[in-house]
Amino acid sequence: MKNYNFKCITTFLILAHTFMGCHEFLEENPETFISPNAYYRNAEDATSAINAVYAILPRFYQGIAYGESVFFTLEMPSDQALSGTGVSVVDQDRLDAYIYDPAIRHLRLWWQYSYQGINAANSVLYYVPDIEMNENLKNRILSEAYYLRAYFYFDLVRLFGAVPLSIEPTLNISNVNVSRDEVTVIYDQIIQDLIRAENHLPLAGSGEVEHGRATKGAASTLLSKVYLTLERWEDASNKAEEVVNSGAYQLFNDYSQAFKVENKNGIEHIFSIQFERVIISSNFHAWFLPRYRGIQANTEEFGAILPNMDFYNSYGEDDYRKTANFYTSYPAADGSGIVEFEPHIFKYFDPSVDVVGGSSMNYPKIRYAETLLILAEAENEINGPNAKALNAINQVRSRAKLPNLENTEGFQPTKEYFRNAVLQERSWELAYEGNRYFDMLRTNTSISGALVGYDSGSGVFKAHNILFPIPQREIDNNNSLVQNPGY
Amino acid sequence: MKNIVLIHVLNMTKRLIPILIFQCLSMSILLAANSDAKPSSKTDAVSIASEEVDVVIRGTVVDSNGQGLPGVTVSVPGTSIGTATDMEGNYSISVSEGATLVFSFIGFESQRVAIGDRSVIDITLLEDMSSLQEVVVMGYGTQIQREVTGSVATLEATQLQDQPVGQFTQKLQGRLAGVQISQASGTPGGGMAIRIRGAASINAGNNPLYVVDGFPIVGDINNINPNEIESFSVLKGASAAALYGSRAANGVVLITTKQAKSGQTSIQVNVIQGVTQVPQRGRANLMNAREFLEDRKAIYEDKIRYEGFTGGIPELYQNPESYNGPDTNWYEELLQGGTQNSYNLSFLANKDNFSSATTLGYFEEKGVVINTGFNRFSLRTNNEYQINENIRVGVNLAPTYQTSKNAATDGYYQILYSALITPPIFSPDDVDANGNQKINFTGPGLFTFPNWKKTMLETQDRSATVRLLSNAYFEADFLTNFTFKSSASVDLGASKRRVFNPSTAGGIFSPPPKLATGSYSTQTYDSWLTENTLNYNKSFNDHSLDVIAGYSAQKYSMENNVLTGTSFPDDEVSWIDAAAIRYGNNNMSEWSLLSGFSRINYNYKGKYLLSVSARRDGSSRFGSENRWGTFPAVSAGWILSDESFAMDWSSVSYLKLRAEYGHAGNFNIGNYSQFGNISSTNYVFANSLAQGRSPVSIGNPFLTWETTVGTDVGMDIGLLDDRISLVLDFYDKRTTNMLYQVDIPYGAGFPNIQDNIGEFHFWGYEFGINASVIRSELFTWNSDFNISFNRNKVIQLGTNNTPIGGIGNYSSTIWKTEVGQPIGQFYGYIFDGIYKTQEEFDSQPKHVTSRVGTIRYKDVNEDGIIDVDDKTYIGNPNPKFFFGFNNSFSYRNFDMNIVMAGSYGGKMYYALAEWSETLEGIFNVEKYMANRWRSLDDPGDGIIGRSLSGTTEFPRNVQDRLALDASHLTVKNITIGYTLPQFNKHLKSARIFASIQQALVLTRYKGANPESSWQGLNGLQEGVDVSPYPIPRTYALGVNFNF
Repeated sequence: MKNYNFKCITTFLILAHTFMGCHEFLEENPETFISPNAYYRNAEDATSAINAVYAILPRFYQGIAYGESVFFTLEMPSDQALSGTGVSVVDQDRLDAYIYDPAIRHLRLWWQYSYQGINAANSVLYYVPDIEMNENLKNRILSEAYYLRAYFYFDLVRLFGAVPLSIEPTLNISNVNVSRDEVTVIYDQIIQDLIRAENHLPLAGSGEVEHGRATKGAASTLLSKVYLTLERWEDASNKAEEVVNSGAYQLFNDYSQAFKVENKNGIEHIFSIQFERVIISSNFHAWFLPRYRGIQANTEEFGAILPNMDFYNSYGEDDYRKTANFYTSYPAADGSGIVEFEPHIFKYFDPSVDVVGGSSMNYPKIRYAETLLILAEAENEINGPNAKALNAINQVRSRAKLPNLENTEGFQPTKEYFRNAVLQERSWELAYEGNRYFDMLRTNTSISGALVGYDSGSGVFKAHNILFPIPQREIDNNNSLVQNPGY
Repeated sequence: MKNIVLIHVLNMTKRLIPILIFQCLSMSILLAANSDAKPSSKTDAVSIASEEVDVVIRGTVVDSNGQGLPGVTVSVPGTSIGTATDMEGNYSISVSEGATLVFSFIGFESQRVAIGDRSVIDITLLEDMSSLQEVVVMGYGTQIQREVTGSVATLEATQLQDQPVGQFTQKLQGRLAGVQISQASGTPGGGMAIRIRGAASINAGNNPLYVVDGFPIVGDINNINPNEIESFSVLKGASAAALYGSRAANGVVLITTKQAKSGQTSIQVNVIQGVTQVPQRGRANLMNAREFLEDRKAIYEDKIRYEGFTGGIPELYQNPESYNGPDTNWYEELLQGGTQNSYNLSFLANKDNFSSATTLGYFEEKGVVINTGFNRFSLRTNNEYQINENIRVGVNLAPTYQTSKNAATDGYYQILYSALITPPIFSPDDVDANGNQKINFTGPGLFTFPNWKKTMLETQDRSATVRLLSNAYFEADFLTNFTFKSSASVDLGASKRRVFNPSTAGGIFSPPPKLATGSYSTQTYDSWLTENTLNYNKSFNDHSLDVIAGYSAQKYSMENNVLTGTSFPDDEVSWIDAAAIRYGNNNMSEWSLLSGFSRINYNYKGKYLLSVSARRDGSSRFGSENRWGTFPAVSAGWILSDESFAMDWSSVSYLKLRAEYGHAGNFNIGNYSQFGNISSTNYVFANSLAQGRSPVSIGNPFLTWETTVGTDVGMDIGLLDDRISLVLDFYDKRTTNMLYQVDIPYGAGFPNIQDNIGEFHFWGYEFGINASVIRSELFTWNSDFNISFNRNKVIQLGTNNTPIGGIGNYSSTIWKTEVGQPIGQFYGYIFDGIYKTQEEFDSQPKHVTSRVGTIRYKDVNEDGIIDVDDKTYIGNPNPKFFFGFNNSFSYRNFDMNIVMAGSYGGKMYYALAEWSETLEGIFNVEKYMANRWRSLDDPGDGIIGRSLSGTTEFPRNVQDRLALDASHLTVKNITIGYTLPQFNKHLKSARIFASIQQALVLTRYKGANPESSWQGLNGLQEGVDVSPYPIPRTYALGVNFNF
């Protein structure tokens, strides 16, 4: 009898153990991550949600495979850069040679990262308004989200044209096949977002601004750039002038200082992609280094982006920026002497880079010098090369140790002359900062004349190249998308 | 009180699933029956019935060793009179005078004895040599081979014990039809890959489920000492495996560990000592120092001639003929002679209601690559105590401790790949200006190479794993036909790995000196299972019924910690404390599974066989909307040879037809994949870390297991009194609901969503023959051959049938899986020579980088341009068939065993060529690279193009020229043994043997290992040889003593 009692009890215990908590037993409780329904509850969640939108930005400048990075999308097709050889660079070479293929990874990733950022910004704009928290902070966070959403769309619309416009986060897959919207609709949204962003963003230099966050100046300058692209000259001029008059920014005395790690988030920097060693190291410097010549230890030396020699030669010999942006020799890292090479881009050379942490160099997305050049360009379009326009461009020129424009040989006080001059000034001043290709597109010009028909040496720019093809993966997965013409 | 409890239990159960209600009802019957039952006497349980009593016969039944056999059925044919022997083998039976007794016992040959006028009849039963009577371990029970209706391959471990290897999977190579086992790498304690019936999944893996003594285990299997194992059963067929439900789709390997046999008392000692070496065959044939220098000189000459290079030929390369420096074979530098020793001591005892089997093992391997090795200490003790003849309790405990060092030698650009292409002009013993050993080497135009030997010797990478596999059970027979079993199993594991990369060590892309880095990672897991089964076994008239029903609950949880240290100030202290920068990761995951299952085996007259089963699994991994799945199966068999019309088939002694159908699942869909995930993505504000969090995936509450529905038709044939047995199988299965990352437009903000969309179709044939070719007093020869043909086709991939892969240029992404095609074929260009002349160049299709003298691929789509659209299928890494062929011989006291395994028709991509055929002049290269195109007058061998800058990347793209035939026949093992004549009364037997493992590889494949596959046998990414850890040839001597 004893045995049976023992058996009953054992059986019962095991049964009870198993079934008592059947539902709980099979319930998954993820402890190491958070699922969306347990998020967006308080100010901390709101802050980390907006931080996550910024966190997309560095990806455009990080490596995606051995020796490649997404920002090549803007450098390779420009008339300032050439694709270095020797790496596995098929896509990079295609960008350089205007063989725009919907399969190019750089384009696919540009698209992916942008929409990831947009969705993250949309999530902030969707959830944060309902969070009970400090209103000032809430408004600032929402404004940053508006700014970043506009930032991503502005690049997308210029590169791909009419892209799908989403202003709400994706919560399930019921409606992910968004079709393309008119370019004007997208620009309207961008402008609306930036105006909203301006309202609550703090001024640079004010106590509440953490370095790296969007500011009123960043929103206004971006807005002036949008207007410039749309050729709404008065709006562009006014916005740029607002930023100039805010007094929040000025130029560094020395051009090369604007790119030094120790000067990051300085007085000239309106919006920079933030990097800090160990946290998020930057390594875009490595693509500009001469290919494995041993001038810098502790880093790859990819040699992937070389200067276009036409552009290199376009700098005047007196132009300080030529020596700041380029070099042809450097001491070998192992102390074995001077290494000489063809001209390479020196702008992003970081002597403090180390193998463990990489570099802390920021990528300068918007500098005050550009604000001045936007002002100069827009003002010229409205009123011709007046004093305001000349003053703006000359600030940039004099920092480059060049004479005022009106004192240069062959100066003509015409709109036409000034227009070309300011474009060229942008090219020299903002070289390799992701601006030139956009300038080429919006003005339909290149270093040797018209953009269409421009022969970069590796390929000719064709009329349909004015827009990149929509990435093939997107076409494959979204049946409501129609490819851009010519692809 | 008891009733209330029962009702409570039942009420809870009702909310669940019908089968569990059934379970509980059975249980309540059990409980009720038990509480009412009077304790039955010993004799009641043993004697079955009695009729006209005349004579009482008693006696003892023993085996050939003289040990009493319990449980032997003693019966009078044609009546219902019968009894069974007790624990000592004694029996007593009352029969009518002149009767005949039949003594039968599973695994032994039955004996018929007329009682005559005797009253004491002692019987010695002989073991039945026919495998048909063997007991096969099935899921949740056993079955006699003869009655098995599912497709199951079995193997006794005794056949394997001489092989000098550390893992049981190595011993299974070539042994089992339908089971493909490859030794993809010779890494000590690793490198094995297994694939049953071509199973493949895109994301859920294709490893079979391993079940050790009834416990489905989660962790590694390589820390199981092969000497602890008694037998293997591989459940291949859809119905055989289906009782394991949501985990059975890739097949199930049942491992039964050693138990002491009834009456057995012995001490067994097995010692094997071996030396290992890397065979010469298949090593890369790169340039020696002088050839290398000549080649570099030529590259510079071409640079000057064609590219306007003005730097001149570097001094180092100017005079190859007068070179007298080092000439190093870098591969050789990393090798050493290894050793492999295995010591096993087993105690087996089965006496006085107690059975115990304990195996103590120690295995050590000094690798054939310097500073690598593997050790395993293991203990297993299996104990069963018979409380009375109805109740048994058992405890199995198996702790192991395993260590290994520097196991990370395999993979792309890892040391055994990168060191190969290091120029021979450098020596690991080179010193710098200060007389210190050099840590890196470089020269004009060359990469910077670490001193690989120093790197290998000074890198610390040590792992240790402690594991306890344990199992306790309680088993009771009651009401004559019922057996209840309750068991609890626990698998506990803890592993740690410490890595320190000193400043002097490095890789090909990161040559030293570097700041030292290190990491320390630990992982602990526990997995427990409780399981209760009720078995009902009844034979009446011509019917025989075996029913099992049960339920189980299993839970697994794992914690993971990684500490990483960087910027160590020096190499003196290698622990993380010394690192200037430290950070850590810490996470956990867990899953749980609740199951109910039942199976009915029924046969009529022992020749019409039927088995029906079902399992219901609920898993925490499945989405909340799809939590429970049912896995039914049915199989049937017909033993034709027992039919009267077959009685005159003189040569066919046995013929069984089988058919089965079943559903099985694959639940390896990952933990938490049903959830949308908010994940950390950090950013920097004010130069310091700012934590960001955002949604990184969308959840899918409908996510569920992958389902494989299979059918199998088979035939078992015995010829010439079963001296020859044949097994034939045809299977067809479809895996649907395949877990797939369905791509969604990036415009949604997420790249994909996990969903169950995708279908593969598999089918194949297996054939096995086992023959006792010669069976005489002096000489025996047994031969065993099996061959398997597996085929597959992709039916559906996601919503858009977007192919997987086929995009990259290099072998690391060589595979493409596309609807309508077999899974995981190589995809690349078709090599078409070089443009030897200007005319060829002008008239033929070209790539952007093509020049006269560069490589030409075939313009497959004939658009006049060679580009990615010209890539096509260039080979299938899956063999057309694979086979095993084993022969064992014995002559007097000598025995010999030869194990062979091989495959035919699979392709292997020789990935080393991506670097050993570089034209940039940065690495050492294959000897034949000297025959490249130099000029129109000197066009070379027509295979290798020129070294012109800007044209040298394209020749490295994947191409059919490097997808080589990997057909092979490997003599895995040859063992010759000698059993010593008995020379000591305590020593029951003694045998010495010599064994060669990996004796011979017969193949046309260029590389060393035609089984190589850096991604294992996962179906989608097989057959790329990246110069893995070489498989050594082992010469071993061993002894077996049995006391």
